[in-house]
Amino acid sequence: MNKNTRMIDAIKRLFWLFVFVSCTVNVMADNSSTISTQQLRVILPPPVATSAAAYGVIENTGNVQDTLINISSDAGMIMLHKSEIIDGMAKMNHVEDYVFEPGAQLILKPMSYHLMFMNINHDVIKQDGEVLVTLEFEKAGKLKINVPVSAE
Amino acid sequence: MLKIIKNLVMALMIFGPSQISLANQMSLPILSGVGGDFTAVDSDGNNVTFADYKGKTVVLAFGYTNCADICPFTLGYLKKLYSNLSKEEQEQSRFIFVTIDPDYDTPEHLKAFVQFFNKDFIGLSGSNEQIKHITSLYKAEYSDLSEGKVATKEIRRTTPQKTSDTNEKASLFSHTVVLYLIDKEGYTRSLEYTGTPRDDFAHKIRMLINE
Repeated sequence: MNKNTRMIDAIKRLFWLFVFVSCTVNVMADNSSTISTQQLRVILPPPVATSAAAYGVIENTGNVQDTLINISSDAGMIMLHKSEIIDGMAKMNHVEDYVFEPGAQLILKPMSYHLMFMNINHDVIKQDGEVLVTLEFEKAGKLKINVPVSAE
Repeated sequence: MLKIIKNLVMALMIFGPSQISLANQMSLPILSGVGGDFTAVDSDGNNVTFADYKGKTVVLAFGYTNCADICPFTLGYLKKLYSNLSKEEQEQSRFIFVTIDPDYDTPEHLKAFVQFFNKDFIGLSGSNEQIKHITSLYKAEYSDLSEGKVATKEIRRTTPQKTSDTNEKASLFSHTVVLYLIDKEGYTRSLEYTGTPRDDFAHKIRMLINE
């Protein structure tokens, strides 16, 4: 085997290694979790309020199931809550570890799921302000979002 | 008499039963057993009775200021509803928000909260007994959610309205979401929700103002 042949063999090996690695990355990418948000906003609360709510949409745009395991913010303690109206009564529950199926959306809206801030920092949740919210998912990891404060 | 019956039959033939039923609904009959006179403390700390609002058409809601979702949403709805009314109609109506958390919602605090939505809105507070009486009159249930939920003393720890009572847990409530439409005589005439189209609600308020 001459030098040129060995060189060609090495290039061939490198090529197939490249193809293998590329395919693996693509497969991993196809099976990774991707989370996106739309129209997230914190509703401007009265100056004396101790709590506030954020609405919008959180979506799992990937093709694997993922779970929202933690939420934090610079504007106060934050939780995923769900309000429900049952027999004319408003009931509110803390929702832990919300599971997103592939392609699923969580719609946050009044009298339903919402992000609830408590002990709010009015220096952050203020007119024309922006709140840093970190959504931590089991697979997608931490997603940091700057959420605007809105009148409604 | 025969003429009246004939007219009714004619009306049924022309409008059909659904329209007649809608017309009856819009007559807003008195809902007996819902409401009545009570005493409370208004936004300025004055003792008031509900009879003080006699002559005005009242929209009454229950809630509390530590509520993040439903109460601000309800007050936002009422703000828009109120702005649907003319100046004269606003003069003839009162929008009242009764707290179910009087320990925390002092008149001053409540005033600042409700008037964020509209300067004309009235917040009513009072003793726990007074609030229990008002809610019982309006069949407006409420209950404390704090047991086994969020440690509410923690919520209050760093808030402007501090409490030193570590046993006091009255910050998160389950409560009625009914909006009571009350006529000038103090009779409850309709039960509404934030789902009611605002134009329909405003129409009912006008009906009672013009009675």
